[in-house]
Amino acid sequence: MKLAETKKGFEGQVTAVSGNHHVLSRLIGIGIVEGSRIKVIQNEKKQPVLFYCRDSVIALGKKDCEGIEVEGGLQA
Amino acid sequence: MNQTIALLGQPNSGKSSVFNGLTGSHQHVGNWPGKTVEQKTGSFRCGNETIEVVDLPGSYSLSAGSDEEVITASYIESGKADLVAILVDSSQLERSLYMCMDFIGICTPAVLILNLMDVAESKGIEINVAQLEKRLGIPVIPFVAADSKRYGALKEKLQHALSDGKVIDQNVLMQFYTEDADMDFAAVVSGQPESTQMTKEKRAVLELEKTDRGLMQSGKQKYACIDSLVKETVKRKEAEAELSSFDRKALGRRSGKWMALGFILLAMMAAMLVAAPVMGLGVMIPGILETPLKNLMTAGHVWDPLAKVVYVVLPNILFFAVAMSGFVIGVTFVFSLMEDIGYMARISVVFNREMEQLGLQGKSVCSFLMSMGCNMAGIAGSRVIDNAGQRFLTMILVWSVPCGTLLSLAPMLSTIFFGPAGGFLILLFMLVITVCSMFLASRLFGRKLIKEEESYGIVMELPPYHKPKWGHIIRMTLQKVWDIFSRAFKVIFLVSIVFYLLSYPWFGTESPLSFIGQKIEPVTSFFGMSWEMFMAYLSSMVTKESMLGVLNALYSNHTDMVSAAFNAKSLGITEGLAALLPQVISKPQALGFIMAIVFNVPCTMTVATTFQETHSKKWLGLSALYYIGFSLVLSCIFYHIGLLIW
Repeated sequence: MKLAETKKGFEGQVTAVSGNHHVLSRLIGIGIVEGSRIKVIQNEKKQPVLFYCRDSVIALGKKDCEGIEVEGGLQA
Repeated sequence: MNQTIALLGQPNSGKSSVFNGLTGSHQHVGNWPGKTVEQKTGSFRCGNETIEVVDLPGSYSLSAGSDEEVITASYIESGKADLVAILVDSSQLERSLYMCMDFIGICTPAVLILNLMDVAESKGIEINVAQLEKRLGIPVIPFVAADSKRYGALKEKLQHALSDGKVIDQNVLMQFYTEDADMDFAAVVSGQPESTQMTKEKRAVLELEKTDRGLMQSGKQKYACIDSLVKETVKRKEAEAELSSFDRKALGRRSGKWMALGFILLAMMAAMLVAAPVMGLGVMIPGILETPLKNLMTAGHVWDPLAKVVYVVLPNILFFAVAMSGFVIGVTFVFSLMEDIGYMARISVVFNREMEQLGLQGKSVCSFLMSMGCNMAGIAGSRVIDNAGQRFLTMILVWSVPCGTLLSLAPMLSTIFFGPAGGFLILLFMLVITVCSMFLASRLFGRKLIKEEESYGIVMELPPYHKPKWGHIIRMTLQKVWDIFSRAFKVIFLVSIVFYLLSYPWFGTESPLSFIGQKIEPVTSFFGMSWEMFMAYLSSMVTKESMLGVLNALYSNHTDMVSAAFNAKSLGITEGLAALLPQVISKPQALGFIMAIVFNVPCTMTVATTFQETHSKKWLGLSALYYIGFSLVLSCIFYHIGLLIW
């Protein structure tokens, strides 16, 4: 599923990242690569998705979250 | 030739604190050649050596395409630095070491500064510094940027590193590339030319990263390397991946916005509190200085035009500069504080969507709101925006926002002509047009200022909250405000003299301005302005307040436009003026004129501040042209609509 569609509490890892070269470069720079473990901490309408990745809280615009495929599930 | 150290680090790594701590007041701020990105250089002495320091723009990597990253990467590759100090946030090594990975393979000696060690320790993170040094092959320096006592030792360590000249052992990273069976790394390496700036392996990595696939593969190797380093050298407790209850509110879709607005309002009040005594001081200046200076000039039989510069122009611009400085100090201080503790990043998130429509980031909202107090404050406050293009665009859009003076002047003028209800209606119109103007200016300037590669959505780290570094904040604020004021004062003094020379009655009762004004009246009357009104329009580019004085002087046949324009005490509308204006200005003219005044170029001090912050004459000129054009077109439209109504 896409990162944009995940709900708060989702835990899993990134399986694919798509976007133009600059977006990719930017995402990698902040810690998002294939295989990165993430945990979604907030995903509200019309707001950037907030998630934990590599020790940090990252805010990422909805549009760019459309290009990130993740697998995993909700944690109790 | 002095040796040079370049500071390299991601945003939130504390790079600017370290730069300030190292260089103190020995700083020079300019722009990188051909860019709107700020270049900060400075120096410090260690023993009897002077060492230059270059603060590279903060960026997350050396490879993405923003101006900041291009500048940083090309500076690093140029070999101009004798030593590169890589700063990382020790409490987030897993992510912040990425910059270090991007640097590996460049043949410039380096040191790694583990900043925010205190935060790391409080989070229960233990770092085996000796082991990290061994693996990387360069000095690793644990550090706390906020602790001023540590800088002496840091300077010595940097000096040693300069003389030792150790380069990072590239195998630490390159082994991951060579061991990966999916990529034929050896083949790519052998095809690379030899050079003194970087190794063949680094060139091969850059070559790989040209494709999307290669970029991702390379990113994975770099993080694999970080993971192995962290595993070997860092002991830590598992961190709780939850937002604090404060953050849940601060980042909520609705609550976050209200909270941000609340904090900005509080900030504005705090700024006013700081401003009030300074403003009080400013108001007294003309009263105190004018009479003694006038007596002095009369006693010395000084030539009248010169005497007036001394006793009218000088005290009053001093008043403006000092009075406004209070508010600017307040706003700059509060903004630096919110940035320093980490709250500004939250505002960026909650207002992301609204500001994105203007091509900006959420932080811009703070500048716009503050501009309703004083445009200069909004300009100075834009400092917290980390992308040069977006920062520049924010400043241009700030010019659209009516400042405190206009927000009181315009309704006052409107009430004289259209009564209280009309005044209120015009105020509403103003706000709607402000928003339209911001969109228009954003469309006109946005595409030129913000490169297409940079116009992605928000990608940022939300830093953990920190205790404020008061000393750092106060030093930064005072230095910033001083920079702005020395510039703004010089500019407004020059502009005032020019305005003064043009409005002095050299030919009996006529000044050059009034002469030209009357000649071009056929043109200005198309925009609904008599020559007297056009003079007032022009004077409102110097200070907004002067416009009333000019109207008063010209319409009541006082020839002394000079005293009128510069007399700050005449703030507010006297009964005489309120009775006079409707007799000499028609309603349609008034309507057009009010719009022209509100959306004209802001006061000279704001323009000077914008220049101080951007160093770009070209964009400043274009944006001034835009606002002059926009305000005249508005004036024309509203005047002609008015003619249809009345």
